[in-house]
Amino acid sequence: MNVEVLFFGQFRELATRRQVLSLKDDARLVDLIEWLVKEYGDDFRKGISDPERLHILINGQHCDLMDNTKTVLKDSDVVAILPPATGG
Amino acid sequence: MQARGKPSSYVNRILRVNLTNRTFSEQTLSDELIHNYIGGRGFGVKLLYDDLKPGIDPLGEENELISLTGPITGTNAQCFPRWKVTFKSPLTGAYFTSSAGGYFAPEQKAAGFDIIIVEGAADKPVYLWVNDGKYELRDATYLWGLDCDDTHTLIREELGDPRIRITCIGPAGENLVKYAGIFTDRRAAGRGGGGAVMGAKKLKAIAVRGSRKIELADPGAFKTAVREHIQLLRNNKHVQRHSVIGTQEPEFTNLLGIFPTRNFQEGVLPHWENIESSEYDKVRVRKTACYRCMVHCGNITKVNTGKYKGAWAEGPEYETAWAFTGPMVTPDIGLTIAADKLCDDLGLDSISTGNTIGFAYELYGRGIINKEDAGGLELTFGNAEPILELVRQIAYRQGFGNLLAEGTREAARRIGKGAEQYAMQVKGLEMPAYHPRGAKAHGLNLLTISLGADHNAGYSNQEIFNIQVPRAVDRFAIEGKGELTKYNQDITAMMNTGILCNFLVVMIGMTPGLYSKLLLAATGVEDFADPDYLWKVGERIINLERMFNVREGIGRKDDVFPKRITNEPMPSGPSAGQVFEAEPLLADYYKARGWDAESGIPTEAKLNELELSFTIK
Repeated sequence: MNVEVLFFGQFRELATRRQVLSLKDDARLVDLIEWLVKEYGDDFRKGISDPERLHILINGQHCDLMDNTKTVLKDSDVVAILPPATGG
Repeated sequence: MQARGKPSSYVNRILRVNLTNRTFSEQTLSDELIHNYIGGRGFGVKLLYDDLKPGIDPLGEENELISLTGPITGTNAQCFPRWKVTFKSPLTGAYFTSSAGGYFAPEQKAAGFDIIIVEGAADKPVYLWVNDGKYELRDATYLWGLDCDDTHTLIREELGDPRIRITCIGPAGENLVKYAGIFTDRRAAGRGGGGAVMGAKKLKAIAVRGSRKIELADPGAFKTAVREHIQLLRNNKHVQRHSVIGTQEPEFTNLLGIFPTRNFQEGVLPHWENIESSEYDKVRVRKTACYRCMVHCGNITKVNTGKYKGAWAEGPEYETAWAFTGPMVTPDIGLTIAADKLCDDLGLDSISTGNTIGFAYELYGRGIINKEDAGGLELTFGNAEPILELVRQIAYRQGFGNLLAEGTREAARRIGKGAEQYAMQVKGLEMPAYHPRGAKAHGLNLLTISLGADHNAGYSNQEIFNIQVPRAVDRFAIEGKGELTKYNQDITAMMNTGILCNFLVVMIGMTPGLYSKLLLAATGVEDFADPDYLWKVGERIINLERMFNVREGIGRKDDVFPKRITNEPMPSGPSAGQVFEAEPLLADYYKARGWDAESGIPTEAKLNELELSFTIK
């Protein structure tokens, strides 16, 4: 299946803005994160090591990395990886 | 209460200025005002409720403009720069309070007054000059017609002091545009039409300068609390990000599918990647900060390429980044910066301006107005060409802009032909940059707060940013959203007494416990040591604001969204299929508030509990 990943903030400096990744059909969020760590190395690992510095949205729904790593991804999911948001 | 005569951060002086008679009087703050309302927004609503008769014309002599500070204003505490101004709104016909950052409020207090109340109307343009406890009205005839930037420059030159702080209006306020704002340096108390209230009074500006030092009831305890607050801010990841980009982050709401697009028909802006934070990184040239604020979230931006090359602004904030892109489907940062500066110079609220232009675009697309009505402009979604021209026309009330200057509700009423359903407003105040269909507590605040659709009065950071205080929520769910909205509104009203910057409320950059320490150490008022008491004051403020409106005949019937929000499912994007379920959400909210389910009016029991029995008729 294909999953679209969007990077923002400091993650943009490590990866391109948008990537479409081919993952195995039963891939979970944790599998995606592991793939990204492998691809982008220690800087990415460091970037996601503090959950307070990280915000993940799957199809526009908030996702806590600590609690939801086992979330199963689906074909055509859009996963956004952002720094913590600020006021508006 | 604190003992009279002991040190306190209140100046304990109110200046009342009558422009009709050109008279001045001074009062002290009453114990009841301090104890029950603390400062800022609390002072404003109590004074406005007491002073105004119901039914007065917001643009008449009887309206007041109340310039407010709080007990933490002017101290060395972080992030308390805010200035509040309270009045009856010409846009909504209801209670209103607006707010700006910058440096004006601390300087007003240094000049000798917690509160300045302006009443009456002058027969020719004037400005008020308050200088270290002395005051006078000065001729502003030569300033009339000038933009906000030039007004600041010339007043400082005239009075010979570049450190004078000023709030003023531009041409939009002079021309009584219903959503003209009040500007201090390049910060705006934009919403609700305070600029038109000043314009109707022929009050071009208020200038303040002073040397008065703020006393503290317990300087040692205050210092400790300030240090604790600084540590809290240093450890806050949201604040750290806010220091870098401010609010220039339109991607977040696009990803949630709640970025109001095509006059609130949709929730995702096509090509929103053109306006995301990394694009703003390219035009951000300098940081700015308000008085004693380590967060320094402000940004100077400058356009370096393309059609708008050379345009610059302080901002845009998130709301403006939306206002000139989403409503008209024009995702262009250059245009946004140019429009932001134009609004700042001419004295317009950028939210209402952009929303109103988007409304006109939809009417044009539906054939309710035509090219001739629009003065020859082609208001088709995606066409950026007419936008700056319309901003100018609105500010000067020229051509089609004269109608749009009335705001969406009144403009729709005059146009007829079903235009009302496309006016995206609540109680006459244009809706801001969050789609209520995809964030129910956020929407419930827009629907119920007495100001109309004001996002700052009860921001649902839980739904928008997944901040899990007091708890995690599902943004689409309706259960528990009444109580959550009450929580968000009450804590905001509480912190608006100080007057704390709202961004810190949103980012949990302050807690009620820490706020109570600051208040107690600053004022010596013993009840302020209890955070539960502060929650009660927040609730009291919200209820008194509601009762001001009830007295004006505004109530349940006005807690209403345009039917697009409640009846039409979001067509696409991450919030697809969502509507705002107004009936159950409102019922839940009234119940949480202790308000009557049918009328939406606070019950007598609730009013008595909050010591607001004087509002019971």
